[in-house]
Order: sequence, then structure tokens, then C-alpha cells
Amino acid sequence: MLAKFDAVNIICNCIKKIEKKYIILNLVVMIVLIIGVIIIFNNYEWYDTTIVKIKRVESSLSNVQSGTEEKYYDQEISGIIMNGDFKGQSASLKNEYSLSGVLDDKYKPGDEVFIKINANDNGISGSILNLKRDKYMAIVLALFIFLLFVVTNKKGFFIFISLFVNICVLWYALALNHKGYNILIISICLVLFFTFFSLIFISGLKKKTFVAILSTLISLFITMIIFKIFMIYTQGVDYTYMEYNTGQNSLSGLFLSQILIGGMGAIMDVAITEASAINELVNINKEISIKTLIKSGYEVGYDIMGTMINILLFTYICGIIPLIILKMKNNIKISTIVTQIPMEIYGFMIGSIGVLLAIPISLFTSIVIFKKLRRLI
Amino acid sequence: MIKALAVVLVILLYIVGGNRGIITFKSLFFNIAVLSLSILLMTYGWDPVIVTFISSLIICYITLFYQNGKNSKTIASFFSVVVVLLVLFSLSYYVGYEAHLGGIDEIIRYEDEIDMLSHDININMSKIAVAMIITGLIGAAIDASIAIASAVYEVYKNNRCLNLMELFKSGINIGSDILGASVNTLFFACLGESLSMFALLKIYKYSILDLINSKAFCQEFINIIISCIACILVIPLTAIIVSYILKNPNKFEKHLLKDELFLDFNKEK
Repeated sequence: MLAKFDAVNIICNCIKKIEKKYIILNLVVMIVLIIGVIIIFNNYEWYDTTIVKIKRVESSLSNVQSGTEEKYYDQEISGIIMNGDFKGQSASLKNEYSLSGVLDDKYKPGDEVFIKINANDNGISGSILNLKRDKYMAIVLALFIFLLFVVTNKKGFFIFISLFVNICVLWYALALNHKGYNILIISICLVLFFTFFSLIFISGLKKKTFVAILSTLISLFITMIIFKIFMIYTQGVDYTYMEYNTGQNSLSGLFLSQILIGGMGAIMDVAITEASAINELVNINKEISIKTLIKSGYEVGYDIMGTMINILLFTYICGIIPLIILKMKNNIKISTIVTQIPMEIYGFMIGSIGVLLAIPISLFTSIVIFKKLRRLI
Repeated sequence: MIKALAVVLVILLYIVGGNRGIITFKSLFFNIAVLSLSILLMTYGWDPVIVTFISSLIICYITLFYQNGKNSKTIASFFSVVVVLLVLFSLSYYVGYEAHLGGIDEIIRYEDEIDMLSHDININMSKIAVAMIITGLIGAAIDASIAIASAVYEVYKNNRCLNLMELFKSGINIGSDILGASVNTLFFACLGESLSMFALLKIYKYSILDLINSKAFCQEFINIIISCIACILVIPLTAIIVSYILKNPNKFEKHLLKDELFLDFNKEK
């Protein structure tokens, strides 16, 4: 009973205490997002490829693979064309899917698909190219932005802008790779840009931000040198099993760039945490001894070390679950599979080593700058 | 090469972390074991969604209660992470099925490595997609949650007369500070992993519209965004639960026996 009363009380207080300005801001954000999602749901005219909205689907069992017992189904699909010259006419399509759906998709009424059109006397038919996924992207993205604003108010705006700019810069920088510039050099420039931009955007133009930038770059540099030394003195990495490796011009450069960018976020996180902690300690007590600073700095480091390494582990492993399962189902030995996922394993290990190195490096950089060089700056 | 790097990693864990490094190493080892076991069970035909749910609960339990001990902070984090997991299970189930995120995307399917394998595996790949999304977010959700719970706990320890609302507000404030860093870590790890995909899509001359409809990009992108949503959702939830536990310790008496903040309280009883 008391619990219920408390909960009601909290909600009432919450509503009272939040300033009107924020409620209005959040409402504006919500309305803009809803309008955006509605536009994306009806953006058929943006595409040159024909889009069909599926109305009716009939599925029938076509065959059962002998040996694997995998069931295959045929689908007779009819739907309405949503754009282009044949807008409003109905189209009939064919599809085949397996129950596992490793390479094929099962369609259902309500799905919207891109098709390659074949018009003849018997009506319009065509082959399915791809599902229209932009509307789901819009829903998830809108939910993300809305929650960001509701929970963090102004800060969320900066986080969102920094993510958005980073992804745009990456997309356009990769055009340079296509034009023949070395991917590793592009990535190093990207890393410099990302570090400066994200840290300044998230924690502002303060001294601690620059300390964090400096320690991030030093840690990244040392981590990459360690990795390079290992590459030289061991047999190196087998690039044949890298994903998306066809048609790339420099596999080793690409591999290094991936590992560099992958570890960067975690190292940045450690660096800014250490820099803020040391800054705070020095500000509170100007006479604090270096020994105490080192001790508290390590204490802060211990707290984030474990969770950072865990985040890296889960982010890298989640991407390869389907491939591992596919390979295990094909009776490939686990010991072989481990050697066939180089990117994820090296990414995780180098990232973790980077995090561990970043703790002492950023600690000492912060101490040197905040404590020793105080009078000079 | 892998072995050499692993040795360096373990030595560094010991040098930098000392005793805490050993605990980190043990829980890391355990997490890898739970993940491998769950992947193994999925290949044996167990339902991927249920397996992931149970394994993520075990991972939560181990990371929180083994690494940090049983106290008001970890209890609050555990509850909030479980709630977030339940909410995001439904979200990723919806998106995973509707946007056909399962399966091998349209680019790597033509690589020799995949081409040679048999694709009749009798496992529903849409469910594997849900498992993927959830596995990606637990690390980040636990991280954000424990950070906020400890911060609110410290605030309360130094100022016992704060009321529930004030504790909640300070939790949200700290949360917004942490969020930027967590989102960055997730974002760059995913970006690094998918850099080669981006480079390849660029070579195939994908436009922005092609990009947002392609399976390869959607799988990666929806994965990051849902992980970020988990980080955001966990902030107010943890803040409210930990403030509630701290203000009403008598209701959680038997779970807080080892909590240093309530030792006096327990002695009085």
C-alpha cells in the first residue's frame, strides 16, 4: 500500500518539478519525429525501383531436402504497385523460402518489397529484389532520439549530433578509399577527427577534454605499435576469412583500420573518465599529493576496466553468432572456426589491451598536466 | 598470434588491475563460457530466444553479484537490467521479424566461404537475429546501470537527508554524463567491426537510399541503436529503483545483510 502511494507521489512530484520548457521541447521533438516517421512510411516516390505492397500470400510446401530435413516453401504473392508508371495496378510475384531462412526471406501480407518488373499481356509480374526496410529504421531511430531527449534533455542533443556527424564523415571519407587513397591513412585522419570532435562535443571546450584527447591518442599509438610488433614477430593474420573482403584493395590496411577504430571508443571513454576524476580531485584539494592521486586514479580505473572489457566482448561476439552457428551446423570444428573469425577476436583483444594500457597512460598524462604543469599553463 | 595476444592481455590485467584484474579475468572467462554454451545449445536446436534470455540473466547475475557483491546497488541494477531486457526483447522481436533481419546479408552470401556451406540448418534465423541484438546490449546495459547505482549510493552515503526525488534527479544527472561515453564505446566498436562492409558498399556504389534498405547495413545499425536505447532506458529505471531501495531498506532487509550502509540498521534489529 505504502509502495503504491510512494509511486504515485513520485510521479506527481516529477510532473510538477520538470520545467514547462522541457515539456514543450519534448512535445516538439515528439511531433517532429512522428511526422518524420509518417513521411518515411509513405516515401514511395523517392525510389526509382518499383515498390509493391503485398496484399495476399499463399504458401505451399514445395520440397523437403533429403538428409537435412529442411523444408522449402513456394509463395504466390499478389500486391499493389505503389509508385512509378504502373502505380495502383496489381502485380503477382513468386518467392521461395526455407524454414531457416539463411539466404531467403518469408514474406507476409503488409510487407513492402522492391521488385524488378516484367510486364506482359497476362498482367504484371516480377522478381523480388529486397524488402523495404527504411520504415523500421525510422521507427527505431525515432524511438532512440525521443528517449535521448526525454531522459537527458540538452545533453542528448549533443550526443545525437556527434553520432550523426561521425557516421556522415565516415561515409564520405570512404569515398576517398574508393578513389584509391590508402585506407589506413584515411582511418588515421578519421581517428584524429573522431577523437577531437566527439570528446569536445560531449564534454565541452575544457582543459580536461584536451588532456583526454592527448591520452587517447598516446594510448592508441602505443596499442597499435604493440599490435604491429606482434604482426611482425608472429606468423601474422590470415585475411582470407575476413568478412566483406572481396574487391577490397588493401586487406591488411583495412584490417588495421578496423581494429584502430573499434578500440577507439573504449579508450576514449577511459581517458575522459580518468581526466575528469583527476581534475575533480585537484580542484577540491590543491595540495593533494601525487601518491594519493595515483591511488584514487587506479581506483577509478579498476571500476571501469571490467565493464569496458565486457562491453567489447559482447559487441564483438554478437555480430558473429549467425556465422558460427552456420559453420557449426556444417560440422566445422570449433578450433577451426576460432581461426576463421580473426577480425572479431583481434578486435576484442586489442581493444581490451588498449583499455588496460589507457588506464595508467591517461592517469599519468592527467597528473602531469594538472599537477606538474599547473603553473605553466 | 591469438595465443600471444591472449597472454599479453592476461599479464596486463594482472599488472594494471592487481586483484581486481584477476576478478575481471574470472568473470570474463565465465562470460565467454556462458556465451559459447548458449551458442552450442542453439546449434543443438534449442530455441535461440529462450536460450539467450536465460544466458543473459546468468551473465547479469555473475557480473553484478560476483564482481561487485550483493548490496543495494547490485540488487537495483539487476532488477533494472532485467526490466530493460524484457522491454527490448519485445522491441527486437518486432523489428527482427518485420524488417527480416535474420540470415546472411546480401553481400557476404556470395563470398566463397559462405557459398561452400550448406544452408539447410533447421534453425530459424530470425530468432538468431533477436539473440544477436540482445547479446550485443547486455554488456552496455549492465555497465550503465551499475555506474548509476554506485553514483546514487555514494551521493546518499554523503548526504543521508536527501529525499527520494532528489536522489532520483541526481541519478538522472549522472546518467546523462555517463551516457555519452557508453554510446561512444558501442558506436565505435560497431563502426570498427563494419568498416569493411561500409568500404565494400561504397565500392558497389550504394546510394543512401540503397544503404538504408540493405540487410547488411540494417543488421549493424539496428543493433547499435537498440543497444543505445538499452543504455538510455536503464538510466531512469536504475535511478528510481536504487533510490527506492535506499529510502526503504526495511522492505529489502534480508537482501541487504552485507550492505555496509545498513550495517548499523541491521545491528539494531
